[in-house]
This record gives sequence, C-alpha cells and structure tokens, in this order.
Amino acid sequence: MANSAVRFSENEIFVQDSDLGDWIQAVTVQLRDLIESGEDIEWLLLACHEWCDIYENLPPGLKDIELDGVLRDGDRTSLFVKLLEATKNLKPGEGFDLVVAKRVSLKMLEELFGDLKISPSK
Amino acid sequence: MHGRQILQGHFGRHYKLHFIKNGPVSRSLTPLRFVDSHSARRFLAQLHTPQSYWQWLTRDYHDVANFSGHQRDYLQVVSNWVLQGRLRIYEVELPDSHALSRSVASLQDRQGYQFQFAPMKQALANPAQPQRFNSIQQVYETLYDLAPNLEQLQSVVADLQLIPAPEQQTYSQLMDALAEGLTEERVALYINAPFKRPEPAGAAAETAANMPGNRKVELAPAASASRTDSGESQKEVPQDQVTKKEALLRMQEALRYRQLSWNHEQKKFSIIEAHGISRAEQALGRRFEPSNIEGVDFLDPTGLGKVSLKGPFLDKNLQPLKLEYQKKAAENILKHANANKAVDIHIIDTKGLDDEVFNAMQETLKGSKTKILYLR
Repeated sequence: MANSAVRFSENEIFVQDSDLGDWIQAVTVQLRDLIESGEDIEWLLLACHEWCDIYENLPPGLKDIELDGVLRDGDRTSLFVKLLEATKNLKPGEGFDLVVAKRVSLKMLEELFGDLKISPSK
Repeated sequence: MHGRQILQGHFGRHYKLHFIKNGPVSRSLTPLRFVDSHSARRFLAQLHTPQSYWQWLTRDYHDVANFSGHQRDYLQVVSNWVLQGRLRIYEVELPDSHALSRSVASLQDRQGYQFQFAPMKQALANPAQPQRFNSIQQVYETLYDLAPNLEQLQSVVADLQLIPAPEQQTYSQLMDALAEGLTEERVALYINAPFKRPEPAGAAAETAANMPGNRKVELAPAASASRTDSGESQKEVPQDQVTKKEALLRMQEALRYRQLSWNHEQKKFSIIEAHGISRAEQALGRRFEPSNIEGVDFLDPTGLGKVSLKGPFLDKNLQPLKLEYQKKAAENILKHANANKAVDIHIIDTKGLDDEVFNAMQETLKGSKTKILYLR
C-alpha cells in the first residue's frame, strides 16, 4: 500500500494513502466543533480544501501534506495540536475509519510535534 | 410587439439582435457572420416579423432620418448595420424551449437563495442579467458558499454538459469544470432571492381577509436583495446578516460533501495503485508482498528488498494527470528520494507523465543515493 509523507519542521512521517483520507475526514468533522466554539479557523478550512485536492489528484505515494506553510505561528500550531489531541474524543458514525484517524493523529502528535514547545503569540 | 429583440427564424431557431452600443455580451458567444449586406438581408428577411419592425428598429438613428419615399428601405439599413458590426445577431435558446429545459440546473443555498445555472446561449434571451464575477477566486467563493453535495454537483455539470461522464469525476474536478464554465462565460448564473410570504399580523390574520382570493400576495422577492433593471434580483445580503461563523460553517459543509465520495474508492483499494503494481510486477517479473514497515509500500524479499512505488500519473479515469499535478508530484518524488531511508528502491511508474516533466525529474534524481527504477 502506497505511503505518502506528512512534514512539519524538519520532521517527516509516512502514512498509508487510505489512512490519510480517513484522517482528513476526521479533521473536517472536528472543524465543525471548532467553528461552533467561535474560533476563526478559515485558514484551516482552506488548508483542508487543499489537502482534499492533493488527496484526490496526486498519484499514489505522492499525496504529501506540508504543514509548515499552514502552521505559520504559535497560535495556529497550538490549535492544530489541540485538534490532533481531540481526535480521540470523536464518536463513530461519520463514515470514515475512526480507529485509523485516531492512529494517524497520535502518530503526528508523537513524531511531528512531540519535541515541540508551543508558545502561542497571544 | 416591436419591442422584442428575439426573433424566430427557420427550423424554430431564435435570434437576438444586439446593438453594440448596448454593451458587451459574453465572450463565449459568437455573432453570425455575413459576407455581404445581401446575405445579411436575405437572413433578416426570413425572420418571422412584420416589415414595420425594421422601421421601428431604426427609429432612433439619424442616418435614416433623411430617407424619403422608396428610399425608406429599412431592412437594407439594418442589413448594412449588421455588416458594419453595429448590430449583431446571435443565435439564442429560449428558456421555455424543450431542449433548454433540460440544461437549466437549479440549486438552493442554506438561506433559500436559488442558484440557477444555464448555458450562456440562454443569457441573451433572458431579460435578467447573469451574475458577474471579477476573478476566478470570486467564482470559487460563490460555489463554496453554495456548498453543493457531490450528487448535486454531478447533476449540474451533467445538465450543462460541461465534461463527459461527470459521475466518474471527483468533487474538485466537477467544481473546477463549473468554475471554468462560469469564468469563461460559457455558463450563466442567476441568483434569485428567496420568496417570502408576508408575515401574518396575528391570530386575526386567519380571517376572511386572509382567505384565498382576499389575501394579499407578495409577488416580488424580499426587499433585502438589490434589483436589476430587468427586475431580476441579484444576491446582495448585508454583511451583518452573513456572519463569519455561518460562512465558515458553509465552507466546512462543502468539505464534508466533497469527502462523501471518497469512501467508495479509498477503502484499501485504489484502481490507480493497482494499475501501478500490476505494471511493475509484469515489467520486473516479480511478485511483491505487503509491508508493515513505515514508508515501505511492498517487500520483495528475494530480490529488490524494500520497495516504494510512486505513480502512475493517472487520474481516476486512467487518463494523464493535469500538468500542474504532475509537476507537484515530481517535486514530492524528489523529497521522498532524499528523505525516505527505509526503502531500498523507488519504483516510479511514469505512465501518464509528460515527457518534459519526466526528463526534468530524471535530471534532478540523478544524484539520489537510493536506487531508482523508472517504468515508462
């Protein structure tokens, strides 16, 4: 099964393409709660649209997601990390493989953000 | 009767006469061409309209004021104008024609606004002005605001015949096709304000005054929408009514809709990837085994070792990818070749890849420390 890369700040992980699809869907579901809570996450919605484009159109094994361009500052990074942490609280029934999505979020947390000390600019 | 500018000709076809002083028409429309004023005249003469129509048409123009007696050949004047390009004739389709009724697609957004998509040929016959866009970004914003689901999008694109086999396209491909149609003005979009009935005044409203035949009926859309000269409403909702939160929720909903189509294709089987594996196995005479190692796609224990397969560069219809995606994918390959230390060999199935992109990729990967094998 083809693996594509997710990169952030010199770190890189490989995720199976189908797992990446589950994770993008999970993030999209989580965004709804963030919007309801009043967060202005237009940047993240636009990024999700771009990830959908990549997922739908790039060849197997090359559906890479680059997070550096999206997580430009501490606030964004902090919010994104919270979102990854909250994946474990998602309830099943949204049409994607929740176990897989949780696994991908956890992997990102540990291997992309594990050694990061996030300092929000606010 | 003379006021009409849509005239019927042979075979039930309809034509619009458009003075260029009345402004430009969509650039996707082409006016009829005539080699001389005689052929223009012959064409005009067969249109179903009384002779007096031509006189009416020239009523405001000084260059016919001096005509008298037999010189008053108004049809010839109009024919000359057509030849000079001052007056243009476009073939149009009428909104009520049977053929067209199949090609008008309508969707409703969350606020009840009706989005009506129609071929541009209809726009000239429609007194209402279609939505104008200043940039392709504005087109995409409008479409994402509408947030159609995959099925709706397929239906609209199919009705407008924008691309073949819309049911086989991804959400973004369908969105791109519709956005392209709007940007190139091959598709007209009309946005109509929701119809609102008058609010009842209270319990007393349920009286004789409110019975059918007695009650007031609002014939026009709500006043919140601005109106064009033709009476068609254009979407213009005050900013304070559309909160940031609502806009974000619409974007999120559009995202969810586009993903609903994924589950059919993604579950552990990708036709494109299967195509690549099959080609690689046949070309190399090997049989790959699944891998559980991160970054390694397949194993070939007695031969190539840990294998990473990239490509082929095909879309879901097994046609070559768009060039922009090919280039992006080629950039990604370079990163994989440099950073993925887990694999022994990268097999790149270049089927669908443009020659120029392929050559540039080969050049860039020359110095790669990991073995690279190209399938061409």
